[in-house]
Amino acid sequence: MAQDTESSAQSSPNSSTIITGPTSPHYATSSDGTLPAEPPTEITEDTDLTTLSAAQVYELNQNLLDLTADVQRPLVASVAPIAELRAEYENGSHSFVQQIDYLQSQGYSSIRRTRGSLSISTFRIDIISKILFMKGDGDCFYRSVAFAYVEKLIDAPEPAIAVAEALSILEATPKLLESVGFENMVFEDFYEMLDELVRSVVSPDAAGNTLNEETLLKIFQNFETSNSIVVYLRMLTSAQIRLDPETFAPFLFHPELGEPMGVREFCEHFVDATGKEAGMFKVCSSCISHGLPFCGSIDHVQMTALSKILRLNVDVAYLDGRGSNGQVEFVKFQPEETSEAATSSPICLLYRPGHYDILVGPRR
Amino acid sequence: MAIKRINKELLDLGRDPPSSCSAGPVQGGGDRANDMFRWQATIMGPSDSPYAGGVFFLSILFPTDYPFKPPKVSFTTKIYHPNINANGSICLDILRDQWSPALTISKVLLSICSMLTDPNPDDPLVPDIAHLYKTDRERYEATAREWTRKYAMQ
Repeated sequence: MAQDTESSAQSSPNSSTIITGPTSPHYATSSDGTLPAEPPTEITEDTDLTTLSAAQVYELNQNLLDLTADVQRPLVASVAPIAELRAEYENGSHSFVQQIDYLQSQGYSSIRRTRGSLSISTFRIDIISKILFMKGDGDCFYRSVAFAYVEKLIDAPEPAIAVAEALSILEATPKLLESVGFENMVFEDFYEMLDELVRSVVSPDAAGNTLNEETLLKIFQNFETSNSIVVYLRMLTSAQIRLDPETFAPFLFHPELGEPMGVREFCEHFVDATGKEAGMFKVCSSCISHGLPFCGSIDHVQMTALSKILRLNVDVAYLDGRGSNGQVEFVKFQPEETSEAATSSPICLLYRPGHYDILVGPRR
Repeated sequence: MAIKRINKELLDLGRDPPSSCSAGPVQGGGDRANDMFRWQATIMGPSDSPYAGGVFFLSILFPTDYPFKPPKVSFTTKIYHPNINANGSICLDILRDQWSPALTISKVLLSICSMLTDPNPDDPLVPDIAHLYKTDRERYEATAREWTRKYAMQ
């Protein structure tokens, strides 16, 4: 398990050269204009498995194994001691273990695992169209943010004020979405679910109960509610990028081709499309400023955008085996305004190559 | 949620129908609630394509977790096109990994219309047709016109 997770960091770029999407340069048509007979450029439902190379079959099998393990977990899990994570790495990477110990020494004692949206019922299609190209589907990032965002309201010293602030921000978002071209009918159901969830932090339900951590967890384990909120956060992210192209355009690159992308094209391909990882190995400002050539699977463009539109501080701890002396780098995403939001306590995510979970820090 | 959204899309199609396409639930058949997941659509062959004058029928099947997953859309009318195979299956990114809940059936049908005008031979479902499209456009167009006359004009 530990080795699987760690090796995915190295194997992912590999897999994209072994089996690549149709837009990849690796299997361009040959000089006489004919398509190469094999290996196939894309594995589809119709692909004859016997035409695949040994490497492709291996890759396919690994992805299947990873995926079957993944779909059996809940969308969001209960809080677990970080020692559980450490145990998974003990037979694998020393540098990961060191970094986990570092997190624990800083008061980060627990994690709450989240996952993407792949389900058993859509397993076949997903494996074919997505899994070969990317680990995870990017939803784990949005799900982690969404859960931690609502949990933060529950834990706020004055929930009524925190909820009122959150609602005033959220209430402005349908207009923003419409202004960048989203039709009302495609987002209103999702918006209503998030709005209702935030309200339930202080407004009692029919039985007189307000939202607590336990009910929040149940809500986020429900496929429809959980994914409705994930999709709404994706739309908000997309809207923020589209509304502010000057800020984001310089950092939008195609993850496979490395070519600059237009704002609309980027959003349609990597933000709006569900179950599509947001761009592995993309250069971004924060990475450059931290001396890193690349960042994680959901790139910093989207985090920056989401942090801005929700006016939410997000800290991401990078558990990537690269920190010096076993330390863990925290990258901070802050909305620019010098509002209260900018100084309020951040939600904290834990990044491992290709995946995000919620990191539970020392409680105030 | 799926039914709610499908109903909204149906209302919207009635209010603001896209030019040259139509769509709605399959008429008749069994259980009404179930029928809402099974639609039929028609696309008029674009005038600037070899499919001009043809009327093409498509079947649409909404998954129960729509709009989180894409609808299954396929041609029921035979059509000669690099991205549509003999079963009517359509090779279109937004029906696969580029699907977004922000898309609608209306937008999907418009994308299919524009695919009829501009095939994507670099992502072919039928390599032979793609090859012909790239190397002998005239012959591709003649065959596409012939198939349109034969199968899509009645």
